[in-house]
Amino acid sequence: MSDVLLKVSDVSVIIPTEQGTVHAVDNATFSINKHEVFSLIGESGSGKSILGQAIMRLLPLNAMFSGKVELGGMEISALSEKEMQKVRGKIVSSIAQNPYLAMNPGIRVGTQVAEPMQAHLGMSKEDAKSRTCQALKYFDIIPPEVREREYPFQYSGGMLQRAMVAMGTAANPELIIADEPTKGVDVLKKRNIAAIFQKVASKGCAFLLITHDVGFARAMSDRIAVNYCGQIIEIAEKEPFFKEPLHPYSQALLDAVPERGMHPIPGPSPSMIEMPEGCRFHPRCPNKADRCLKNPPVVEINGRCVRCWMYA
Amino acid sequence: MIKLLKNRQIALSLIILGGLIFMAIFAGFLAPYDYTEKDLQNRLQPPSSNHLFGTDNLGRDILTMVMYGAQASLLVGFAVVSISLAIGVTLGVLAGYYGGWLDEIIMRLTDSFLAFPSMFLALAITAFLGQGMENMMLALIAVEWTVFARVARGSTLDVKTKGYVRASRWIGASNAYVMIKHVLPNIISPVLIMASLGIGNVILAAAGLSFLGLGVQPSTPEWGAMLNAGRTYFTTAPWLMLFPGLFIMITVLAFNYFGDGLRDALDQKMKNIELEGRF
Amino acid sequence: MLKADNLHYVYTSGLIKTVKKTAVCGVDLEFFPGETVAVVGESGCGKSTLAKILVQQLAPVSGEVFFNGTKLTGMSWKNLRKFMGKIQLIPQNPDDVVDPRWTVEKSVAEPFVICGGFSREEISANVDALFAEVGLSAEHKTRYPHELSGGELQRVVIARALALKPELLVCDEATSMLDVSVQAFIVTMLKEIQMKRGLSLVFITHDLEAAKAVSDRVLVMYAGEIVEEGTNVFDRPLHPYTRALLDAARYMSLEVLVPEDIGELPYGFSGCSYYRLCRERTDACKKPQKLKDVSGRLVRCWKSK
Repeated sequence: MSDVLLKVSDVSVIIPTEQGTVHAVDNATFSINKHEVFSLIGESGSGKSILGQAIMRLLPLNAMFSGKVELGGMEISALSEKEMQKVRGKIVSSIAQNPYLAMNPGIRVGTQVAEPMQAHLGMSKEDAKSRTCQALKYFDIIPPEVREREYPFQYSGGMLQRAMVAMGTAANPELIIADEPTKGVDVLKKRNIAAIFQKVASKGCAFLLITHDVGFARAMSDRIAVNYCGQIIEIAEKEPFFKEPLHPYSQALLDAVPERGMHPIPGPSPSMIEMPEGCRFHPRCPNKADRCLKNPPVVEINGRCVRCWMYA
Repeated sequence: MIKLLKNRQIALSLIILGGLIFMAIFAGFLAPYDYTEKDLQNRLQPPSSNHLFGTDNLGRDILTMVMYGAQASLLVGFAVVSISLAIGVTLGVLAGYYGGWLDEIIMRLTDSFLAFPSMFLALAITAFLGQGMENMMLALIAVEWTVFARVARGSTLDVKTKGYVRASRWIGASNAYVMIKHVLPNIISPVLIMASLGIGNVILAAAGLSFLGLGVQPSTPEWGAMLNAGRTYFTTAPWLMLFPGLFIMITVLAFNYFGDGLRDALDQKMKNIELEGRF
Repeated sequence: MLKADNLHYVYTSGLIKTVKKTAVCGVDLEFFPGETVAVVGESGCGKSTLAKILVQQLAPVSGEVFFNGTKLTGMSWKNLRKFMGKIQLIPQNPDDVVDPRWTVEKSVAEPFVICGGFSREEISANVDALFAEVGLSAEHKTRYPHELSGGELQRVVIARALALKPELLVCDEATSMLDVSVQAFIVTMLKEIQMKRGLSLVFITHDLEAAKAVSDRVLVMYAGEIVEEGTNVFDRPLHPYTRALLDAARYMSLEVLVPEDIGELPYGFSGCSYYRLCRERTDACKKPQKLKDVSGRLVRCWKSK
């Protein structure tokens, strides 16, 4: 039996806007294994959030999607909306950034956490309530019986974040998509988010972590994919990646991190509407050559892939 | 600006309003007759090729009177709203910006005006001051300014907390500078929407006052006054009331439609500002 | 250059029952020309409040701030105007501090307009120079704030802050909302500007690595107090809180959750503010702790030697 949980094949998303057509995602191909934490790192505006939305089929209405997404062998990109609703929350779930926006302030926390259980697992109210208490206890929200009846405003920020994760994992999804969970968050909270995610991952859930926080990705992941200008340009296991990033953009990105000296990446970021010809990174690449004006192939080396002429 | 015109509601209503304004301005050229011209031989004629809208009880051509009536109604509408806007926005911004006792005083003043049902207030003032277009306009201003004061105050309170106001004060800007250069431009959207909706309201109110005999002099062509004059002939010669009433309705509808369209378009613009470029 | 003595700030809130929260408690500090100082701590430790007090946007409940010897606290707004250009604040969210209805060019020109005494040509030339200094091109000038990316807009804010030739720039989490590569760009740019203009930089951040990379000196704040201050703080942390912060930044021992909120100390407790969460606490910690000089480092803990 295959270990592959999510398979994304040649997914492209095009969004028409007033300024022009945005090629948000261009032929994304990767797979996530069961129980694996997979990080998609890249800068804001490079299209990685859109890729996450595309997998969940929650794209903006005017976006055009092409390609195939398979979850556990089943092609979810072709499902009807009604069928997709059964998939969301049950098999794939997403965790929002801000708990205060994701939770309804007028409904008790326990009810909100129990909702996916009742909706997707068909549990009765009593069963869901006891499962909720278990979940709250698992995430250190104690005493669970009391907290279950409280409203979001009675929770502290960190606790509400954990409650939100409890809600997202209530129906025991196989895959969780977390989009920028650490944006603007301070050191201690970030560390706790990492701790919570690890707790969830230890129960067997796979993660697609979309983030620009390289340090967070490093602490959490098994495998890393790098996104640049709508394309996935490198996929590798964590340790080999951080020890020796192959793609020049990956190298530049890692050099920009404070620990390595905060060296900015030279050149302006590309527009998602008018992209450079051929390799999208070539205008800023220290190793650019004539062949870079043609689209580089995706090369497999030692179990890793890189989209660069240097390795062809 | 030009993007606003792409909105169908705005474009359509502007065409209608444009037509009405054109008619009002060039009534002298367009009207087939002189509105003072009485033709007692041809009183109460139904619409015909000679008189497209028929004639009234003194033989005057109704089409002509409707055209000239547009002048009065539109003039009242624009004038009252502009002056109310000027008074209301000034007081509202001062109240919102300074807060404290100034806010209290201005708000109590607004409340006291708002405590009366608007029609009654207008009636009372016109009855007190006497008939005439200027007095009617004063009465309508007295009613309308409170709307702008409230909107302006609310928006000012919102803008006051923004970082750029603090940043300007922080480099040494005076309060007057901040109010004129930062607050006013940022509250203009809701105020404009209120203004376009307000013109419709004012025209309707003016028509109502004239209908009741207060307002313009009886022989001036004004849609409300025409409605009043046509009352007695409603069953025998309904066209005396029909056409001015129709035009009141079209004008107010067009202004409301414009205001709604403006509101939707500006809302959309705000939403786009938030969504743009931050995938 | 900028000196602060014994600053206190207390937030009061609540209508019927007033709740007081001490945001800044007895902070003394001094900044010298040309240096870069980082102030680190978790959210809620009072660093933003401290920033606002230093730039005079907030008046402290007690304590004084001096700029080149002149006392700024308590000065009337009219007199303070002369100093306003000298100390500038760069806040976290650039969207909030530029007027969305103005082109960015107009926003950057604003300090000159308000200050007065510049001709139109001078203002235009100055604005052009400032845009060039922050690496923005002429075509950015006529854009509106919502048309620029976060990093570009933050650069506009920095350009405006530099207009009246400040001597001190306080960056309050100025790069927290930006990507790592944009952060690197802006920090490098700020350091270049600092060298060129000889100004002092204060970086308020919760990113410990960034603080270490950019600064000469680091101040660690907890619950409104400075608990450690000095150079090489992250290589050799002396205060238990600094150590806890470093462990968290390195994602150590992820099996346990660390408390995120500073929380309230029990009423009447006058000992170390970190007592409740300190892993190394003892009974001696129940006495109030003062900043001690431990071979060039200031630490608020009796244990450090």
